[in-house]
Amino acid sequence: MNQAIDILQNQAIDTLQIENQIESLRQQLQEAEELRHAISHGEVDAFVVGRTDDTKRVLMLSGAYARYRQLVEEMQQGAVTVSRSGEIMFANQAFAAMLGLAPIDIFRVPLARYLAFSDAGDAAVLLQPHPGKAEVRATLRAPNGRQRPVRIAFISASDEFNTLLVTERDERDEEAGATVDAIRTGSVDALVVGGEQVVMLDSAQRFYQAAVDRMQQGVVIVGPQATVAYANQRMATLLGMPRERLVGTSLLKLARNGDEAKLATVLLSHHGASAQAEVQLRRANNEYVSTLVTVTAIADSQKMCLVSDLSLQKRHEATDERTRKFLGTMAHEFRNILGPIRNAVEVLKVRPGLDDECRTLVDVVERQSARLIALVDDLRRVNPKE
Amino acid sequence: MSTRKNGTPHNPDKWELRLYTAGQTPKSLAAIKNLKKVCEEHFAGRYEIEIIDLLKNPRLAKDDQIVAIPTLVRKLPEPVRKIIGDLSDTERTLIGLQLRPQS
Repeated sequence: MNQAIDILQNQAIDTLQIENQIESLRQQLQEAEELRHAISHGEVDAFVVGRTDDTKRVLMLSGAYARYRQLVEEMQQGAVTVSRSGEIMFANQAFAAMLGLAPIDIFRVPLARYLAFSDAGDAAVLLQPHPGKAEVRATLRAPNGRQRPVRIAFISASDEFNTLLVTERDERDEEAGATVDAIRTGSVDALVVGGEQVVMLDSAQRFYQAAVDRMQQGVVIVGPQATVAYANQRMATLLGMPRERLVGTSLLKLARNGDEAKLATVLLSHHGASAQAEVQLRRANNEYVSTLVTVTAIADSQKMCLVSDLSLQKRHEATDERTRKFLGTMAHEFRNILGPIRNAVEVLKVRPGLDDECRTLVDVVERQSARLIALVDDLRRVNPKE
Repeated sequence: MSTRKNGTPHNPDKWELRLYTAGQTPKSLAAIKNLKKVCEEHFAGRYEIEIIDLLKNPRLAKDDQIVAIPTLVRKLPEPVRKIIGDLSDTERTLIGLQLRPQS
């Protein structure tokens, strides 16, 4: 019986202890929750850490900031905190070093003082509470005159301050990138190679080729032995053969027998200035076409020939001649008709008893016939042979 | 220091610009035309354009370390800036000249 009572008493004690432990845990949990809330809401700024009295110490939460601060101080990039009015409130060692100064020297100095004139406005955007843009390119200007291209990026903002990250940039890399972009997008058409030689890019050559192809004159570029290296479309049409057939053949072989020497003289001469020769060139159908070939040296042993179709010119001249003859004949015929009209008017004017109405009409005929004679005289001047 | 407000264009008294061209290439001609338009619109009467034809004087490329043609060099206001290409992208040209903030 006693044994049974002991067991019951022991069980009651265990239950009480367990309940006490549970209550203790509940309290610890509540404290932990309150602590978490306090930390997350910035209501505490220090902790007591350490298990025993000997090891216990107070850990200030600012100590954590100090670690960040140490990190910022030691990093290679510049970091600067500025007020809304643009004054430097904090600058790390790296930023001060970019200016050749100590961080204390630039405290409360306007950031804009260290920026190139034209960059200050762009950088000012970064001082706004919510900068719309995250980064600007600028040039830092040290008091010793040294200029340093940088990127300034917005990192964070508080109520009164913005913190910016300042990184040096390599303008040569940026320029190389811009050059590649410009070539890729076709906004440049020439390059300088070896410092002083200008080389046209393909796109430019294509433009010139397109222009030359559309020319109304034949164009041929020949090499040392008068071999055709290039011919435009007009030249191919003039000779009635495809351009592929022209390229690689000697222009001299296309000249009529008597004209070959004449063409060779202008093509193979070493005169710097251009030279001309009238030669007949053989077409694909073995007919000959009269041309005027103007030769200009363009590069190492290359020459450009402008080939004008004289037969076309002669056809134009013949047309002009026919027109002139027609106009001359017309003028002559008009004058023949106008002579008697003028004579009749003169007779009428001196006739007595002419009433006023008739006199007015005679005046009209006289005036208009005079105009007609002036027009006929103009026509005769067009054709001096008349 | 400029008194302009944040992000608005600033207007120094003198713009000194140098345009490197390669004779009468289409891009060189386009660059000249586009540059004159921008100058007239944004700083009429306060700019000087010096056009350097590198086909005539290729050695002058060394002065500003020119690689591609056409290239515009802004000598003044400082700092020196380069804009590569025919300036047909007006927005890019204005950003390059810092007449418009970089986006």
